[in-house]
Formats: sequence, structure tokens, C-alpha cells
Amino acid sequence: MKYRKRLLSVLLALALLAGCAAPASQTGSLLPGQVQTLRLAGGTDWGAPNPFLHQSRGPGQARMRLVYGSLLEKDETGDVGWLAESWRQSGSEYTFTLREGAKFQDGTPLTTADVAFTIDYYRAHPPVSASLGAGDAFLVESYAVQDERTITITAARTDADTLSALGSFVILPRHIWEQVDDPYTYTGEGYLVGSGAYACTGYDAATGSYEFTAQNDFCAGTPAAQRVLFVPVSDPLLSFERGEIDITDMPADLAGRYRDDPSIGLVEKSDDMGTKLLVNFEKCPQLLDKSLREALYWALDRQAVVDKVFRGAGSVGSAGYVPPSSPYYAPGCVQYPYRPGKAKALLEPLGLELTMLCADSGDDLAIAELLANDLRAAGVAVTVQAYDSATRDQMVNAGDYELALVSNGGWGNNPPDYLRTVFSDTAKNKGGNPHNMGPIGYENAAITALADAQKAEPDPDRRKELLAELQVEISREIPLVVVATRSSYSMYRKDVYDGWMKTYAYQQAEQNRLSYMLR
Amino acid sequence: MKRRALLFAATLVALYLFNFFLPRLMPGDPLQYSSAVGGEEMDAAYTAEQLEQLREWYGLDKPLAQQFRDTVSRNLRGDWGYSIHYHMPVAEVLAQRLPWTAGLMAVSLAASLAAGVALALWCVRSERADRVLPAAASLLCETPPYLIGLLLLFCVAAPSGWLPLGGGETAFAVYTGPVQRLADLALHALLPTVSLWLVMTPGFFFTARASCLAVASRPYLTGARAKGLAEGRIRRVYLLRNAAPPIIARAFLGLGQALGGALLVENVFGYPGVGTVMREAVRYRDYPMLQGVFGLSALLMVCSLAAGDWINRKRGAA
Repeated sequence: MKYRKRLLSVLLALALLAGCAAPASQTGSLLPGQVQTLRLAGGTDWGAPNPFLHQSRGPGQARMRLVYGSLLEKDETGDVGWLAESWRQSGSEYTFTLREGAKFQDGTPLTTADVAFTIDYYRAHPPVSASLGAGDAFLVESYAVQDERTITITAARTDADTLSALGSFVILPRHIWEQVDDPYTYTGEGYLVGSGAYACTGYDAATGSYEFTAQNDFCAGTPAAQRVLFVPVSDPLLSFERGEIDITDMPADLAGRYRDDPSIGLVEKSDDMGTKLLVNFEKCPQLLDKSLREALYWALDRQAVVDKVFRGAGSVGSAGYVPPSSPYYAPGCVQYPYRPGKAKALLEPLGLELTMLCADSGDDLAIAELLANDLRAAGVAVTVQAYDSATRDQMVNAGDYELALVSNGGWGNNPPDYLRTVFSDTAKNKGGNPHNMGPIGYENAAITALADAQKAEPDPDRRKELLAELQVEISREIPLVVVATRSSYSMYRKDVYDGWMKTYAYQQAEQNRLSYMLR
Repeated sequence: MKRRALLFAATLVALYLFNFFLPRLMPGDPLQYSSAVGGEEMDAAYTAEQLEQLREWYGLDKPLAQQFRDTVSRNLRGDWGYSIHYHMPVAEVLAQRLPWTAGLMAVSLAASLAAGVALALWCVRSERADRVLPAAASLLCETPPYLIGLLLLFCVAAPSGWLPLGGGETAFAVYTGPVQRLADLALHALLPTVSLWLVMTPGFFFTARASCLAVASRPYLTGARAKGLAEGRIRRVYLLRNAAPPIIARAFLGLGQALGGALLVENVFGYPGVGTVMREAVRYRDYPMLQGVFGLSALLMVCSLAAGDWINRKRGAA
């Protein structure tokens, strides 16, 4: 009894002492609509938020882009000015005019000399997110500085995405980086000085904590919070319930509970994760017969994947690849409903024996087993082989598979240029992006022509038509099987902050910098 | 003695070779990890041209034998290499995270040792305790540490309202003094430490109980009692001192269990440390980081085994 009392006393003292160490709450004056602090789940080290040291994933890039400014940004409908107040295109020449008052976070004015320096620097030292490309594929042919606020950039090639690519590289302060020979290891003075709406005022790699502080004199808008914190959490949902973080993912099984809560706001990431079944036609030449690929679709109960694995949050995949919720979705795509009898009649006589490669993480194994059962029922002897993701990735990239299940995010990105990188014979299976994992041993001139043409088409409406034609062609030819796409939700407390948004191009509310701006 | 030292040195060399070659022979590519879960899309995927440049920068374009020579030469100069995933020197990554794991391990090892010995002494004194405690300890030692961690997180931390739900300290807190900071650190470390303590105590308990029971039947204890010495003094001076060597050896041998448990517990509580580093180094095939973190663990294990071995031999010689 005596010991229990002592123990309780010690715990109580600890709690009281530590309780006084609550996060510092600065009480600086707030602008109308601003909140003091936004807290998000952290705990993972996504790298130092600078263009050369962040990690090559969405959260790493998003933290860096809070600190560093680019010429353009994207909102709900298209490209908007960010550090550039205006821009115009004439052939392959793109002229940008910087906003008045643009400056870096150390107070140095940001001029076109910095933009020009950045282009040269990135040519020699590609950043992690190299929107300008690298090596021979570098996008900028030349530039001409008109004056301190105007620069004309000549692109090496012009297509529908050139403006976005030129507008999205982040600008480096010349006065800091001109003295740095190796940016991949540089952590000296000014390595986190950017020109964005927030300055990185705290970064602890070991705990995965980040502190960003508003730059209230930012030239392109007003930050929505005085501070944005990424704090370590064990279970984000528990932390959200306790009010320690202000936004988190909503588990599909708890949708009913949170949807009906008027204090909770939701941002839907519709059909943003997708799962496809790749066929290596070099190892399965029988499947070059299109009727058998149709039979594969008929054999699969893809709605069961949505219901059982995605818990109803998602859609059966469109055979044209682009998800049904996308503004680019082509309703004319061929539909392949679940017809097990018809599939069995076609597949069983062949006595096919196939292996299905999948990752042993996420939901891939569960999806693979469901699909394998369907295929077995249709008379195809399928063996599921599960490996860790890195091994699976290498096997897919090397073509070491017969059937391979690949799940990845970004299916809700717009415009869906991923159709080109998956299906065009000139672009697929290059680089390290899962959207580049396309069919092996299969070529289709019509699909390649459409995929390449949409990329080159500058007129947005015509491009949309080409993308629709491409989807219809893909749905007819079936170079791969689209299994299903999954939707998810970010939920947030409206009374804390209600400005979370998704852009037309990217659906992750927590990773869009306009989510952190007053609008 | 010399032979044993050579044996441990050879073990370290073998582990070094494994550490270098095994990750590189595993399938996977440190620059082409393209899988993603929601919200972690690889939108910033490297282009084919970037991949070429990065391979050159990290020396991954060279033949394996040359990579090995370069690595050995760097390591001999005290350079552990540069992490591909963390974009910083391996030594720096470990230096930032190791104190967290070491602290967790040290406190839970000390607490488990104390609790295990105290419970063993209780068993020596009380037959009733000796009937109940071994069964309870057996049950506990078979429970995985992450499960205990999850139970503590959901059943203790979440309802409490005041125990932290994760992390090693309150992020970006402003402390009024070192005492407040220490209290904050202690509070965050409480449940991770308790998880490890619960898992490791049975091991010490069984060792201490067996050793104490063996010593308890020795004639010099009967002699001490016949002299009329106080029971507390008999336990401290005669029983515990003579039963100590296997318990101390167990403490060194328990470092491996402590490290393994700490890695799991860190992941459950979002506690900073080398656990996450180890997980991510494997996941992303970060060769230099894998070598660093597993090399360090191997060194720790071999040293603790050598220490345990030395204590056991000293006892044998005595």
C-alpha cells in the first residue's frame, strides 16, 4: 500500500511537471481567419525540407514545398500564379514576371537572377523532385533575363505539361547556393532558406518533428496558420480523438461514425489508390489472344475486392484505367462484368498454370488471394507468390513474373498523363515510378500514338478528347487488367481549421500548400 | 583467452562481410522503391537520367568488389558512409537516434534485473510465491513485446488522458528548466519502458530463482543461520552475492532481447530510436544504413556475449 502510494505520487509529479511542458503557444497577433497552430501527424523523418535532402515521396516533397516557392501553383481548376504574378507563352518561349516584393526568408530580394541560377544549378545538380528533368532530358534549352522581375525560358520541347513543369521547380537563393559544390550533403548556413509561405524553424530528424512558421509578409498570399507542426504520434486516430492533431485519415470502417458528426469535415481522395494486374506476355504468350484477356476480366469478381478489402470505399476499376470519379474518365470504355461461367468456358480447356506476384504488405496479398480464387474457379491454376515490396518492385521492373499485382497511389492525379507512362511503348517501364510499370511483351501502335499525342496536344479540350479515345482503346485492347480503385478521406475538425483542399492535380489535402493559405 | 579473443574477432569479421554482401545480394534497389501506400506516393520519382547520376554519386554503378574495397577503406577511416534514404551521414543518423534506444534499453534492463532478483528472493522465502510466480512469468515471457505495448497504449495511455500517446518528448516544447525536461522525457518513456520491463523481467526471474535456489542449499548458508545472523544479511551477503554471476551474465546476454524488444516497442509507441531506422533501412534497401545499424547491433551483441562469457568463465574458475 505504501509503495503504491509512492508510485502514484511519482507519476503524478511527473505528469504535473511534464504537463507544464506543453508545446510553446506563441501568442502573437493573428490576422483575421488565421489560426495559431495546425498540428499534423509526424514521427517519420521525411528528410530535411530542402530540394536536395527531402525524401522522394509525397510527404517529403510537401514539407519542402511549404518552405520553397515556385513560379506557379495549382488550385482546384488549374495553374495559378505563385511567385510569378503573370506568365505568357509564345511557341517554346515562356515568359514569367515575378511578383513585387518577392524575397527569401533571410530578407534577400528574390529576382530573376535567382531563377536563372536555379535552372543552371539544377542542370548540374538535379534535385530530388526534378520537374525540369535531368541529363539529356533537361527541359530548359536556354533562358534570357529581361529585367529583375521578368525572365523568358525557352523549353527544349513543348507539350501540354511544359508550363506546369516550368512553373513547379522551386527557386534557390543564389547567394547561398552559389558557394555550394555538393548540395546532396550540404547542411550549412542557409540550407533551409526558401521563399515560401512558411520557414522551417524546427526539424528533428530523430523524432520526425517539423515546425514551420508563417511568413506573414509572403508576397503571394497569407499563411493560414502562424505555425504548422508535425508531431510524433503512435496511432493517428487516437491522437486525433484526443485533439493532439487536427487532421488525419478516416478508416473506412469508421466512416458512419464520423460522417454524421457535424464538427468533422472530410476531404475525399476519390479512387486515388489503384490496383492493377500486370501480364508478362513474354512468359504468357497465350494471353496475347485478346479473347483470353477478356476472359480474365470476366473471371474476376472485382466488386468483391471493393467490398471485402476496401470495405466499400472505392470502385471497380475502369478497363480504360482512369477511375470513374476523374473528370477525364471516358464513359465509353468497354465494361467487363463478372461472368464466371463465360470465363470458365474459355479458360478451363487451356489448362493454364500461372504464378501471381504480389507484395506481402498493405492489402495486396488479400486482393491477390481473392483474384487467385476467382481464377482457380475459372480453371486457371494460380499460385500466389508474395514478397516484400522492394523485392516485388525489382521483380516487376525486371519482368520476372507471369502475373503481377501492383497497387499504388496517384490514380486521381490530373491530367492522367500516367496513361502514357503505363501504356505508351516509348515511355513504359522506365524510371522508378509505379505508374511506369506497364505490360511487358506487348506493343500497341494505336495506343502508343494516342498516348504520345495527348502529351503533345496543347489545347486542353482536345487533349481531354484524346485521353478519352485512349481510354476506350485501352479498354478494348486490355494490355493489363484494372482491378479496383480505392477512395479514402482526410478528416479534420472544422472548428479548428476549415481550409483543407485538394487541387485538380493532386488529392492529398495535407500535402497541398494552398491548404495552408488563407483563401 | 587469446583463442577466444580471436574467435570473437573472426565473428566480427564474418558479420561485417555478411553486413556488406547480404543486403546487396537481396533483391531490391535503393533508388527504385516504387511501392506506395496512401499519401506516400512517389510523385517525386527519379527519372531514368537521375537514376544514372545518383547511382554514380553513391558508387552503386561500380562492380561489387570495388564497392567493397571502397567501403572497407572508408570504414577504416571512420567514415560509415552516407545514407541513401536519410540523405545524411550514417554515423549522424545513428548518433541522433541511438541515445533514445540506449536509454530505453538501459532503464528497462536495470528495472527488469531488479524486479527479477526481488521476485526470485521472494520465491526463496515463500513457497506460496514460488508456486504462483513461475507460472505467471512463463505466461509473460511468451507474450510479444509489441502486444504488451499495444495493450498499454489502448488500455492505459488512451483512457488516461494524461499519458502521452507517442513520441519521445513533447515536440517543440519550451521548458522552464532541466527538471521539467527530464520529467517530460520520463513520462514519454514510461509506457515503452514498462512494456520492455514486463517482457524482460521473467528471464531475469528464472535465472535468479534457479541460481538462488542452488545457492540456498549450500552448507555455508546453514552455517550462517546457525551463527544467528539476520535473515536479511544472509540473503544479501551470502545468498545474493554467491548467486550473482549467472544473473550478471544473463544481463549481458539479455542485451539482445532488450534490443529486439526495444525495436518493436519503438514502432508501437512512435518512440524515436534505431528501431525505425532498422525498419526503413531494410524497406528501402539503404545499403550504407543497413551496414551501419546492423554493424552496430552486431558489435553490441558480440561485446555483450564476450562479457557474459568472461563472467561465466570467471565463475567456473572460482
